[in-house]
Amino acid sequence: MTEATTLTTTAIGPSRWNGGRSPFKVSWGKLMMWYFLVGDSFSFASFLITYGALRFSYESWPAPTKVFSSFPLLEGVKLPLMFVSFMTFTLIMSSVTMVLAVHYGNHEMNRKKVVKWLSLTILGGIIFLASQAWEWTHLIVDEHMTLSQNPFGAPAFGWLFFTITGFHGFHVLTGVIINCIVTTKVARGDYDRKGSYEMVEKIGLYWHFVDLVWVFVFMAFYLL
Amino acid sequence: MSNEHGESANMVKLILKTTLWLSIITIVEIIAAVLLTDLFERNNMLIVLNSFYIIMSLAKAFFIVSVFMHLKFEVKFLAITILIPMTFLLFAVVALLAEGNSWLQMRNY
Repeated sequence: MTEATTLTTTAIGPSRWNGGRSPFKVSWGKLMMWYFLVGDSFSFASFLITYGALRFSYESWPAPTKVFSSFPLLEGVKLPLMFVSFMTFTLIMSSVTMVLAVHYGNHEMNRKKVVKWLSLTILGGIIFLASQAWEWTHLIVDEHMTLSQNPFGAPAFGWLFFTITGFHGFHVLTGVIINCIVTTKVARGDYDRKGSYEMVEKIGLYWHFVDLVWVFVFMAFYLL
Repeated sequence: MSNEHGESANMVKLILKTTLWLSIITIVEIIAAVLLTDLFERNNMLIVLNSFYIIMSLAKAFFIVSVFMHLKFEVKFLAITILIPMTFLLFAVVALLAEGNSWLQMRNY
């Protein structure tokens, strides 16, 4: 022990400013995941606020029930918002399976259950991405929507739709990839050896954030 | 040990209850969007429906962040450091929507 530290501890006693304890009672990794998500929510907010500003600058805006009324394999049938409802439920359910994986990891360290629920989460993510791929293909090929023009009205609708849902889809894709890596590590028993399933919780936070962003993307493009 | 087990079961119950709420809110939103949009538009009351969507989306966000992301059970100051920066977005929303409206007027002028 150096003289300086002896001095501080004897002079003012163990202080909460000396370090060595976590005031928020979370690990460094989890805290940084939270602050990364704060930053990421600002990138999505800048996208959605731009969308709002441009939308307010047009006299009229494409009606969601008219634009999003197709369903795979059901050509010519008008089913307004039904396909995106399916996508939304897929994402909500994948969030539920993720929270169960985190729960069984933290409370029971039950490797089998964690692998099961994480696999279902990955499946949900893949179904969502496939649905989005179909929706984009439909809009590009059948409706001839491009970044600069679309048959529905305001020209800015096209690029706003593709950039914002694209950026969200990219988050889902990275989430699926990281989920695959973590699932492999869980199955291999890495976290049992480490004695902590916190990595599942950290990727869980990221996955829930992707679901959270979809709530607002869904509201902006499909409801309002 | 049995106490811990009961706590775990309670948490699963809370997760399922939250799932139910998220589903109900989403279904109601979709039904409103599909069936009520025309009616509200004809009566010039679309703002009521839109406010409903915004409030319901914020409610869903609250459920996801507090239960799924577990923020409800963290130290209060952690939650505060995460939520305070978000309030600045409110300023950006108000300022830029007003700005968008002024672009519309310039376009029409």
